Amino acid sequence: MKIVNNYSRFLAHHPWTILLVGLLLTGLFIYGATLVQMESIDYSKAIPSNYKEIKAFNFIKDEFGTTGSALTFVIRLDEENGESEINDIRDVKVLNYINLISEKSKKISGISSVSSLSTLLKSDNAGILPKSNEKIVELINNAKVINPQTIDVVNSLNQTSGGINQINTSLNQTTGGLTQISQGVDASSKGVAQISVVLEKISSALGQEQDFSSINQLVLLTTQLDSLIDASVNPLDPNYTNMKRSVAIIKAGLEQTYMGLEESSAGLKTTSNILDQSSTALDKISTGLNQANDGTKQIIQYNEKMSLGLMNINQGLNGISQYISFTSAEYTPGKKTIINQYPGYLSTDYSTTIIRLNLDSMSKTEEIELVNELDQILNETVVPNGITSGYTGSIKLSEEMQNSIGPTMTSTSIISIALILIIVSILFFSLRKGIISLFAIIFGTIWTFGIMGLTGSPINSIMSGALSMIMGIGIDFGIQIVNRFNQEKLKNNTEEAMINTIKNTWSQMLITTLAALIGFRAMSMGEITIIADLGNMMGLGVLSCYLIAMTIIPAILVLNDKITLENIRKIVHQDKSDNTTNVKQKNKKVKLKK
Amino acid sequence: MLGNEIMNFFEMIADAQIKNAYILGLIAILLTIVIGLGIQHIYLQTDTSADNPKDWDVVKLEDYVSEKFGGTDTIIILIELDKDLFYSNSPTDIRDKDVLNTVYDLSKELEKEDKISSVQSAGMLFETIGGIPENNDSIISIINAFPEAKAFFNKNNSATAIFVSAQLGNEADKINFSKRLTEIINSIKKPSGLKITSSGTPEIQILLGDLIRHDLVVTSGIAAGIIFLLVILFKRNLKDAILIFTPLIFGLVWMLGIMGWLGIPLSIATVGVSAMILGLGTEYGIFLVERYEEEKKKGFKVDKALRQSLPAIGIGITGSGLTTTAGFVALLFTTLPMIQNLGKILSLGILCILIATILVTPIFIVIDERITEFLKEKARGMQ
Repeated sequence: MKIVNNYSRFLAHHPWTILLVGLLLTGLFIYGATLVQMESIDYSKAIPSNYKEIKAFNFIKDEFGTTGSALTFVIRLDEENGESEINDIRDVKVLNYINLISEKSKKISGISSVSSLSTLLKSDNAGILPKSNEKIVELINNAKVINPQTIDVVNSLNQTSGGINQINTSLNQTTGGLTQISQGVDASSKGVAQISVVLEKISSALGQEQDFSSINQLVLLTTQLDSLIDASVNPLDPNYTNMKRSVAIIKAGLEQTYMGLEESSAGLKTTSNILDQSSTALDKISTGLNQANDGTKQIIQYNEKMSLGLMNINQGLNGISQYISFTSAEYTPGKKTIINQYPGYLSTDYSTTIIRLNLDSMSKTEEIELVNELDQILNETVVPNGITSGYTGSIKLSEEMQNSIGPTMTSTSIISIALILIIVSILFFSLRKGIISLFAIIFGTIWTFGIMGLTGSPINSIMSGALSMIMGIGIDFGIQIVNRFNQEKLKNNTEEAMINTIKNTWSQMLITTLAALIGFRAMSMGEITIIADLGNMMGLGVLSCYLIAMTIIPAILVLNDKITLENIRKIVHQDKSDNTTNVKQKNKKVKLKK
Repeated sequence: MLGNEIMNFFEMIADAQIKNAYILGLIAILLTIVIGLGIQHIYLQTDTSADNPKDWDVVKLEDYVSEKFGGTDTIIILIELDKDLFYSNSPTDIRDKDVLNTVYDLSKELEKEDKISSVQSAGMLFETIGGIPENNDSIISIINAFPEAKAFFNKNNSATAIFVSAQLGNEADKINFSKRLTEIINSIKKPSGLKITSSGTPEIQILLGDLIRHDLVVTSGIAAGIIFLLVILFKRNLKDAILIFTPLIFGLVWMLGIMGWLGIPLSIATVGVSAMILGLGTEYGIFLVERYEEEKKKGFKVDKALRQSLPAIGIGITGSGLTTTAGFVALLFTTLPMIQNLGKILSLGILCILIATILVTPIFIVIDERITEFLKEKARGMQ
């Protein structure tokens, strides 16, 4: 192809240009490689969700309230610790430790519920953690047994129902009484209010200022009459004395009356004040009675609701009673039911106990935070001597998988490079040529990671081995180019050898690259797509190695050929011989001058 | 010196192939059939927990908990109202006496199976209190009265579940149990408008097994088909394309057969390995056939062309194959079992294709040339 011919000629004569462009791109991809993210595999997405088994499983998970996600703390006897006092997990120190872990875990966001030996024991011991080993053992051994044969269910239900009826009747009576009280209080409140109004009016009336000026005027009149009598009646007149006495009596009486009225006026004011105070007090009583009435009405409402609730309970009990009566005119009791949840949290040899943490749905970031918080709890909570504790679960495993990606890649890559270098060095009988062919995979992996980082493609644990595989596959391109160049060098100069190398290898290597890409792409054509990302990364790696083999490797080979030690020696030798010639010529000139 | 030794070795192989092409071809085919019989023994790894590294503390702890607290297989049988199967007399609430009787009957039948350790369902709960009432309102009252009963019904009372614990063993046992479960479900009398589906870890693992088998065939088939077309386009010659494809077929059958004989499992991580091997192994056949034709174009006959091409290309593709294998062998040093298995299978595959390219392809080149020559002579003779 003409374009290939032109390219090969350009490369052969301008290797530095090609190398520079390649190195610049490599620099960009080195930056891209720093952006690569690691993530864990989500096995729940391994199988497509359109299969009936998966649909049913997801339906059950959503509809029956199970998140499907849980972690388990495992606390067990430390068998290697021979000096420990704890030789049975049913120990109060262990229980306290379990309780501490449980309580701390409950506070973590993302944990929907925590169940453990301590929660069970507390529920069986009125909310209190047992304080002795004997009590712990006793509670665990006391399984709850519900045996219908020992319970006359129908009678019990009827008695309960009767009792509830009686409570309901009492409540109704109480309600009636309270209603009457409420009415009475209401009436009293109104009456008191009315009395208060009347008193206020009386008080107002009594408090008015009395006008005694008319009496004063009468007193003045009597004084004037007295004076008139003195003026008009002879003192010797037998009526003079009577008249004077009468006037004096009237005046005295009027004065006393005036005084009395003044005193009573003061008294009325006092009475008015007292009546004011009484009115105020009565207002307060009225307010209080209103409040009492309100309170009574609320109690009535509560009673009505309680009554309704009791009626519903009664109906339920009647239903059960009827059912039992239905099913057995000859009542046949069912199986004995034993409720004992302890075996789910305590191993049969009493060496291990577990704490179950049920989890809400959460993102990957939240899962990592949860794991970190649980690790912190585990580290900061003092473990009793003689036991060991840890936790496990899908989220913890997922985190470990994610953390293993980097080290896995590093170790497999190092081993891969070492093995490959040994093989190619033997193949070419030359370490230098082996290293040059290795450039295909070194640059190829940088380009692969760089492109993945720049495109935001993450790496999961299945892909952790991809780097090693890319190296194993990509080295072929380096070997082919170096091998063919060596063969062409036997017949041609450096530039011609490289032109022939590219012309004779590009199509074969392209076909093999395409075949590899097809194989990798086909991996994502099945129903299980979890390895599709691996195929994509492998395809990218192989393509990168091919491009390196067509660009950077040939450029390095050409430059390597031109800048060999022999050439350097030749150049140095050429310089020396030039200098010797120059010195000889100088000496000759000097001699001639002389 | 070593190079000369290797060249001599390849020349020796070429000589043997030229002299005994037909016999060696027959041996190759018979050997492939024998090795290929191992394919039926390939073990499918459907338990994803087996891919967890056993030396990790978190995995050790998980296994410890299973051992101490009894790891069992849980099967969940979902019984739900099916709108598609609804008739006028179909129940409209899952808390129907006919539905619960079906649940009860199914539960009792399941209890009879040896491998089942426990069955929990709404039907079994009613058994403890004397049976299922005839009246649906009574049923609802009782369910409302017992909180334990509500765990068996979903929020809108359109579905109920039977939770079955069993010890099922290996994949074959699980498949047999699944068939038995289907038989039991089909044998139970049930009202119209109900759909019964079984799920849980064993069922999903069986599905995974079916998908692995399916994907192995599909991905290999797609890869083989497209690569074959590519090679035809490249060579523009069907015969050459077949010759290039020959080591791929032999190599793939050897790889899968050896996996079966050695008990190397196939899992969700390795299901696409055939497609990968086909893609990676194509180049060996291409290089050998191309080099042979280059020598033929120089005027050499079959034997000379083969004696020239096999040593010349043999070293190159052997080095290439070994380096590729080295990359895959490095995976054996990881802690993840699924990556280790990937490394094992890929190494095996590449080596098989490499060996097939060096040992089998030249045989068929020689046979093809002799048959072509024979037909030409016959045609000349007829003329």
